Amino acid sequence: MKKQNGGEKGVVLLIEDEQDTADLVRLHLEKSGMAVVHARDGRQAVSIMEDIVPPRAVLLDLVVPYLNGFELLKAIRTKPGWEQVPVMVVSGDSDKGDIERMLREGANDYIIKSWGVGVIHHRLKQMLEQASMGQVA
Amino acid sequence: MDPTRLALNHAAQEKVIVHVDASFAPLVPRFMTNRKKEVTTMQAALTAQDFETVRKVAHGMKGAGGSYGFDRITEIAATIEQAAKEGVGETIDTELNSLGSYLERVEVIFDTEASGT
Repeated sequence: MKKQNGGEKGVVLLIEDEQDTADLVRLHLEKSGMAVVHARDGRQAVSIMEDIVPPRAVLLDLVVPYLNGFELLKAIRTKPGWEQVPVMVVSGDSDKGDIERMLREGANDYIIKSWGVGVIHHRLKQMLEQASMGQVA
Repeated sequence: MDPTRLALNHAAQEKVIVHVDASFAPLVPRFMTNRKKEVTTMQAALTAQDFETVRKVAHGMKGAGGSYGFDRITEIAATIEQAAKEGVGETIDTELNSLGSYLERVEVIFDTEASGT
């Protein structure tokens, strides 16, 4: 049986290979009442996706071991039940081509890590509000 | 010591104050320890001319620095990452020295409303 979304505000799937960054994002999100499931690499992310019901959102690092962000986004968008899950790409890179491609291929937002975790959190809340109103692209 | 050298030496030892969100406080000591370990890792990789390891470590550091509000770490890591892609060992060496010095001198002040440096 698949694990249910935990907590009143649901589960966010965080795919991030840099542990300190993952810890910081988790700290922020958990303080606001969200539960976080963390995958350290692409393989683990795919494994977790098999094990849980669709989360409220996915925070996706563009560069993680084994499967990159583009491959993981495709896996998310083609997985039954996950097609409409809001996906925010969170990357250290600001390559215009990568940003455009991720948005074109189904990401809902793209955040640069150097903007800080506060911006990540704020934009995530906006994305979730839009999703709850059926406005996510 | 000649006055110019003395002034440079003094500047190199000056503290760098960084304001960080108080909610990050439990995580910052490990964050700093890990960055120092990564400097050592990259120095060893540079010695072995292993630019791919340097690039990977610098990439992770670039993202982590910005997330925590240490913009200078992100700047240096981005320069190292680019130099590793191009195989320019001299730049990596110089930037690793800058990074090591920064990590030794940085002093964190935890604010309820932070503005990173």
